[in-house]
Parts: sequence; C-alpha cells; structure tokens
Amino acid sequence: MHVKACTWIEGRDVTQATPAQPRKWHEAFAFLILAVFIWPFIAVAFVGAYGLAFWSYFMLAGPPGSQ
Amino acid sequence: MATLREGRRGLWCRLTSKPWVQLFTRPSTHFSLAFLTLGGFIAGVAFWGAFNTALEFANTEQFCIGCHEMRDNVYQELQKTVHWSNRTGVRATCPDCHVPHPWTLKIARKMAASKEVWGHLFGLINTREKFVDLRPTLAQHEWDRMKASRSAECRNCHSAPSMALDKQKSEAASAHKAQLLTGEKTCIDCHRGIAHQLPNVEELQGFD
Repeated sequence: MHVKACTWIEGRDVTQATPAQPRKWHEAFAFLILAVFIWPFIAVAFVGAYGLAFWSYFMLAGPPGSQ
Repeated sequence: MATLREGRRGLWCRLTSKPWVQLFTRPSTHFSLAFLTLGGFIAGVAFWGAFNTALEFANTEQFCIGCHEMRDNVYQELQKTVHWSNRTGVRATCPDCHVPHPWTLKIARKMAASKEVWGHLFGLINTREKFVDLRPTLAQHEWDRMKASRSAECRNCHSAPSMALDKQKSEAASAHKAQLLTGEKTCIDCHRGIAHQLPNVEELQGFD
C-alpha cells in the first residue's frame, strides 16, 4: 500500500520511520552546493548585514567617534 | 491543542518530507563526519582567502578610480599635492585616507559605498560641473567623519609624538605645540584641502 508523506497514525509519522536511501552522487552534489554556494552566500549576506547595521547606526548617531 | 493522531500533517511536514529537502536535513549516509568536516574546513579556508582578496581589491586605488567620477576629479587633484609626490617617495592612496582600518568600520564603509554605486548609476556627479556643485556636501561628509574620529586615518601615518618640532616652520611648530600636543585639536581642524581642492568657501556653513 502506498502511504502519502506526513501521514500520522497513532501519534507517529509513519512515513518518517522509513527514510529512503539517497544515492551517493546526490549527497555529494548536495555537499558541494552547500559548501560552494549556499554557505558562502549566507556568510557574505551576514557580513553585509553587519556592515549595513553599523552604517545605519552611524547615519542616526553620527560618524564613529562622535558617540 | 489536541494532538493530531491520524491524518496528514501541515505544510512544513510535507515540505521537509520531500526527498530533495531531506538530502540537506538528514545525516549523510555515504560520507563520514571526518570527510564532511574536512570538506567544510577546506571550503572555509578557500572562502576566507577569497573574501579577503576581494576586500583588499576593493581597497586599492585601481578599484577606486574605476569610476570616471573619481578618476577625472579627485584623482587628478590628488596628483598636484604632497600626498602624491614628495622627496621621500611615500604616498597616500585613496583608501589610506578614506577607508577606516578597524574591521567593523571598514565593512560599514564598504556598505556605505552602495550609495556611491547609486550616485554612479544615476549620474549624480557625472560631469565636472555637477561634481563641483556637490563638492561642499561631499567635503563636509569627510570633514565630519575625520573630526569625529579625531583624524584617525591621518594618524595611521602621522604621529604627533614623532614630530620633530624643531624641523618645522616656527608658526607650524607653535601651533602643533599649543593645539595638537595638548589634544585640543586634531589634524583635520586645520589641514583641509591638503589632497583635493577646497570647495568654494562662501558656500560652506559654519566654516571657521
């Protein structure tokens, strides 16, 4: 019988109990995407947001040193 | 809230049960922790190097004068001053004076440059006339910034304790002794227009 994902029986998700085995090249691909694109992008976005926060603060409070 | 005993659960569950999502959220079945952390470590080192290289490139004069606004105006003016050519051959490049050294302030300055990108895209100073018209505003920004930081960028090279006052002209020596060494004033209070032309003084407000 085919059970659709997220079907809960007796308080337990029956579809989560038997995860499918991913293929090796799928995992390798996911690793590369994460390491080369996703995390670097998040890191740059984080640094950018950090700089933007300080720039905004300086625009309100005056340039650094005047606080 | 009653617990759902049977039936289909919400959107989040359905999204996270997609095989391509689980590929990212589940532990790896083919690769060891040692391999994954090594891979992450190597990628991290490469990223850090690339990030720093890009940041340093954005801190070069070549990058600054990549826009004609800087190349045709302030860069030309700098070449007529002592900060470009002098007997010791030490010279200042754009970021030496205009980009703070502390990391947080440097990143904040890099983000502030998005305003310069805006100005470039919309041609706010794309002619000499527009630049000269806006010069009082632009100069005032830098003077305010340097005054607040007590001329931090000047002091990256110039050090008051290292000044040989006896080698200075007498009026310079007495001014430095009375106002710089006492901490009463810093470089920018007196030294303006030392690397670029001064704005038209009549247009300035509160110029002392």
